[in-house]
Amino acid sequence: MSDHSEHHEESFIRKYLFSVDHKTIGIQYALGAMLFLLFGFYLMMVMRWSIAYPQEPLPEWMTWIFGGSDWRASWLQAGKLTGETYNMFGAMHGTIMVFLGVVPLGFGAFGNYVTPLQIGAPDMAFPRLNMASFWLYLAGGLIMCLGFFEWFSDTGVAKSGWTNYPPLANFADLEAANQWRSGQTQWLLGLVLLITSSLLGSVNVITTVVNLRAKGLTWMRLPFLVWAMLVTAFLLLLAFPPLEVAGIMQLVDRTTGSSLFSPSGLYTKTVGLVDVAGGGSPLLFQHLFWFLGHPEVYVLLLPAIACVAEIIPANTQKPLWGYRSMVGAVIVLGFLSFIVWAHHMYLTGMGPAVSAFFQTTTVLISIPSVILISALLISLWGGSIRFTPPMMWATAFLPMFGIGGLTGLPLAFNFADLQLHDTYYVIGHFHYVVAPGILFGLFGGIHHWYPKITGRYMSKFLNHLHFWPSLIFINCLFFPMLIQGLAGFHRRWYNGGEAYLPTSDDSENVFANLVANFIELNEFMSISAWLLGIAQIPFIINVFLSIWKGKKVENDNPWDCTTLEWATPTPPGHGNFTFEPTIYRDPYQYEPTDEGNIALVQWEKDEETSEDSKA
Amino acid sequence: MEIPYLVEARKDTGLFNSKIAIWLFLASEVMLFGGLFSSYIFLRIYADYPWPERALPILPGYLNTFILIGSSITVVFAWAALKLRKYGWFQLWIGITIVCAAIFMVLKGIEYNVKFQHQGVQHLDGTIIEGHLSYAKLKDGIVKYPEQKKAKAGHGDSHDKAKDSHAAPSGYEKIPANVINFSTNELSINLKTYVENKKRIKFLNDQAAEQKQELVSVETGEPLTLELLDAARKDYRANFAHNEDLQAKWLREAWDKAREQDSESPNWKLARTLKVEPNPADPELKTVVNTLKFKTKSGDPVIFRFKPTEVREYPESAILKGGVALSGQLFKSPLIIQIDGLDFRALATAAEALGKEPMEEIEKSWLITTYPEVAKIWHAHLKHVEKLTKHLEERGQEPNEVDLYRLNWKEIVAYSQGISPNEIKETFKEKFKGPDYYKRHFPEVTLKRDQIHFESKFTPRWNNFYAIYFIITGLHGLHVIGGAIVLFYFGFRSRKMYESNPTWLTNRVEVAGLFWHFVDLVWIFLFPVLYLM
Amino acid sequence: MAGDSPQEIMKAVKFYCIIGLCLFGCTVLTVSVATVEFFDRGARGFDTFDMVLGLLIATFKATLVAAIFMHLNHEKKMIHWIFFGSLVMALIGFLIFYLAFWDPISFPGFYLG
Repeated sequence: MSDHSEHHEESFIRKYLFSVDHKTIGIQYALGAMLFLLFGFYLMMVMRWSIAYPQEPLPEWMTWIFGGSDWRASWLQAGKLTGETYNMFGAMHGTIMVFLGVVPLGFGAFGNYVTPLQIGAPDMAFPRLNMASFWLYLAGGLIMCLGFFEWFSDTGVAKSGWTNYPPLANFADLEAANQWRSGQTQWLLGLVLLITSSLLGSVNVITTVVNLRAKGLTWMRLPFLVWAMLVTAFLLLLAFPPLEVAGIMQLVDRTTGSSLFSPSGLYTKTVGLVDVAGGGSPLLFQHLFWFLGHPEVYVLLLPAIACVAEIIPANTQKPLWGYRSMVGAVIVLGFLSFIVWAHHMYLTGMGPAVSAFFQTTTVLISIPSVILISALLISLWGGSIRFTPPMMWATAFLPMFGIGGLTGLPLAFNFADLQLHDTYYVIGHFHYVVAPGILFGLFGGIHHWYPKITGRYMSKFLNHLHFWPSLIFINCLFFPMLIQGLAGFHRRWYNGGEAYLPTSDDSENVFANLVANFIELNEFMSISAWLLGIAQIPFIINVFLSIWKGKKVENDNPWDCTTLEWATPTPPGHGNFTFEPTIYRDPYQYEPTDEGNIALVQWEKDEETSEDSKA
Repeated sequence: MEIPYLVEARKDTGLFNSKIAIWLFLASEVMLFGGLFSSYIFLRIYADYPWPERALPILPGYLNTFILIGSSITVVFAWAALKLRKYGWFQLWIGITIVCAAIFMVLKGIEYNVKFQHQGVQHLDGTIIEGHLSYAKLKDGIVKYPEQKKAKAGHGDSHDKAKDSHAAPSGYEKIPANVINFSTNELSINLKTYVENKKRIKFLNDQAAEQKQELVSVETGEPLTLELLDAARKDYRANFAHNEDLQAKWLREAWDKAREQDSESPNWKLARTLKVEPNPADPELKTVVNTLKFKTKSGDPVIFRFKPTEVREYPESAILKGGVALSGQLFKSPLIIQIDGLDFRALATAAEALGKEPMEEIEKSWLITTYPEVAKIWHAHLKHVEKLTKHLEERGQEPNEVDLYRLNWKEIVAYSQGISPNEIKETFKEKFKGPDYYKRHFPEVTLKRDQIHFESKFTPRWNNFYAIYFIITGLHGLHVIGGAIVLFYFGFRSRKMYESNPTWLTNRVEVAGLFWHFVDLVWIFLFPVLYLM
Repeated sequence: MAGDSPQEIMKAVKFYCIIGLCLFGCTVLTVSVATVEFFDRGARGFDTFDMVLGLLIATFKATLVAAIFMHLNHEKKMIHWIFFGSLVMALIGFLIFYLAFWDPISFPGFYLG
């Protein structure tokens, strides 16, 4: 990169669109991810209408996505959501939130922006590869969503769940004459691009962390965020290729008519006896998918825990409790996450020996998770807590993620999972972990680093308007799911269970009566969801308005943190640091004084350095 | 601002950046190809049909192994030359590496091409016939075959006469196996699925022109054209949408009224009392025409051809994917194939499952009973199996299913001439491309459309072995091409970099070489697993 | 290996040639073991013995390529960790194929018997 040694004026396109600077790319990821999150949220709001009011036509304001009445008529039936449309929205909601929303925000945005700063590097190890990663992500994401527009697709978008299981996923949309204009195939194509993007990104992050650390920054002096991003990168690197294999195999199945995932003698309603060779295995896809799928949820989680782990010491003004245990826990978590995948497949007919194995590893993996959360919780003890906006989100993360994680425990046991698999309990569990859990952590991260990125604080008032309604409504939305799930409400019911209601007042159908008891929770949950959507508006305003109207920071380290990213100018320029950073001590060190705690920043020596550096 | 450790290694890790990166990337590639191999093993274990063991000719893969190993050696020579700062030698060795890669891909291309031209078909009773399509002519809907050249048993003159057994007689063509001839004089097109129909309707139009028949025309007298269909489709969609919007409006009004009257009951109870039945004669509703019917002008049938995979039902009516319905008659659509491979394993397994004797079932099978030429070959094979059994007894082994039930091309040619398969000498070209159809004579059989259980060329569609073979070797081939492109760039577009920063170039070549070796490594496993096992 | 003297590089090159010839030989061995009848021990055709033998030879060849051509044998520890770690991961991934046997729909009684 020796041609960058002279600073030259870059054109707008080079500087903001096709930038190779990790900070710009981080912001690009963040903006892209947040747009996708918003769109995924919209899809969910429409789905919730169908769940709460299955026989009522959608209100007009919800149907904007369909554009003209022609296109709309092919998705809705008398204004109501059809089952197929619900499935399309459901599949895309899951895909967008997981692959296009949370991972790019957590790993793409925070990983890219913060990691080089925290280790004292001028940029990522491979800046052009970084740019390629972002554009591949955007391309892949847009290709997946193309099917919402008539111009690109004859059959809409993918409709077989975000898990895309064959045989359904193989045969959905297979009637389309041109497979490249079918939503299912476009989904697979987008997935291949996304996986490539992730692989390049993870190679970049690992190489950066290994080789570009500043002088004195030994492994055990790394801020916890860097450890978390390192483990996340390894998870992405090693777990994504099997899904790429599965995606390619399914693409080949769809375009060449092979039967890698189609068993012999398959019969479908539309086609009859399927004209393929047979001999394939739908189970193979499930194994390959979940081999990624499980590490993927830790890819979702770790960046959020990383953010919380940075916010808590800053706002309690004391060290992170159990730093070494947390590092050990996150490494063990990463390793264990590779051997638990079949707990998503307990109901595929596996024998007791295999399910016992996966049950054991799944229960084991709760241990490092608990260590992480406990360490974060104990870090609050004895601290002088400032409830700044990031701290509000971080402290909310702890109990919310706690609920999410604990509700996962029954699912780990195959005998309990027999009852709970594919019910709303599972939906409640994973949404608790991701939405009030991970997303709250990431919101905290946005508030925490916003002053460094822009030089201004985000508005506290708007944050209150965002935080409190979000906290309340998100619990109102997801907690009843746990109840409904225990009652047996199934996933992906597009009418919210209406089809299973008793047909007469004195019906003795046990299941129908159970459904009748809990079905009215649907309306409550849906209204909470729509109010939750409104509660995000203050945040959107906050993010943009604060760039011009936010309170300016007083110095380069407004939160009194100890980690290296706060040694840069605000915002950091090309090359990040104005001096050659050297690290003298562990992160999160604070010295108690009469006026309060002083942050012992990592990059400044003081008289007690000789003891600290040996700590 | 310079990224550190691009060229010189960092002291504590001892590595420069791109070396770490390439090893990480190779780790993910290990997972990729590991996943593929794992899937291969899974599919093989899971297979409920006889796995095509040793189905691929070994020579191309064998040669490719040598070529790839050779290229691995030359790429290391290139790196060494660069370290010695001998730029000319460096370029030479990179050039040879790229040439090796090109030869590899050419051999692979030949292999793929041979497979794409090879036809396989499975009869309803389980017999698998492999070979090449033969020639026939479709005239006025009747299939005409060229004069068959009868193979004389036992002697050499069949060799001479058979020389032209695969040349195309004039006026005759190879009828694709995957074509159904359907004769119809009326078709109806479902406008709802029109968009998917578009490709097929165009197809139909072309076929009609080929037949030189009058174009089919709508009952009202308009000819079938894409413009007509486009316009009808637009009308259909607009009217349908209009009606849908109206119904949505009425439904909303009904709900509002229901809620006004009863604000206590839960939604689902209200839904049951709500009845919105639009009166079809309501003046606000528009007429929705969702199907157009067409008939031939003269009433005479037109023959259309389409692929079996596009059709759902026949023989009396055919519904194409996407809702084009033709009512008419399935025409002769035979599959005429010259056999160069025969596999009775599926039939044998099915027989055993029913508790019957496999050999008896084979004797009673359609192929053996209908074609004496094939029966003769089969009986000669059985004699050979007896000899083989005796020979194997001495080694303490038994003939396996492949020995018993599968005939390859050498056996077929040999037995039809009454000699032993060992006396058939494969030419060098035949070791690559399979039997030479101009030299060898193969028995020809005709299957009727309704006797076919499944047919395909040797593409991923034929069976999962070929599917996974094409995927693994295809991905590997893409990696070869990618690596070759990178090596080309470093070999022939790097003069400036060599002059300004030769160590950096050396690092990059080393890293590219590591990738190249990995590609070779994958092939080292690929070759025995796919070709030999 | 950066910064070696010309003599050391030439020595290494000669070593690569020898290993290359060794690899050619192993390839011939692989094909002979598979095709020549003499080597067909155990059951006729393809059985576990053949698979193990074939994979052993392939693993040996791969080790030669990895250790010498990719100079893993004098590479830094970190690279060892990365590469062998990924191999371990891949082997875990291979558990996937083994799980095919535990599907009672396709292989009933496998885990009971």
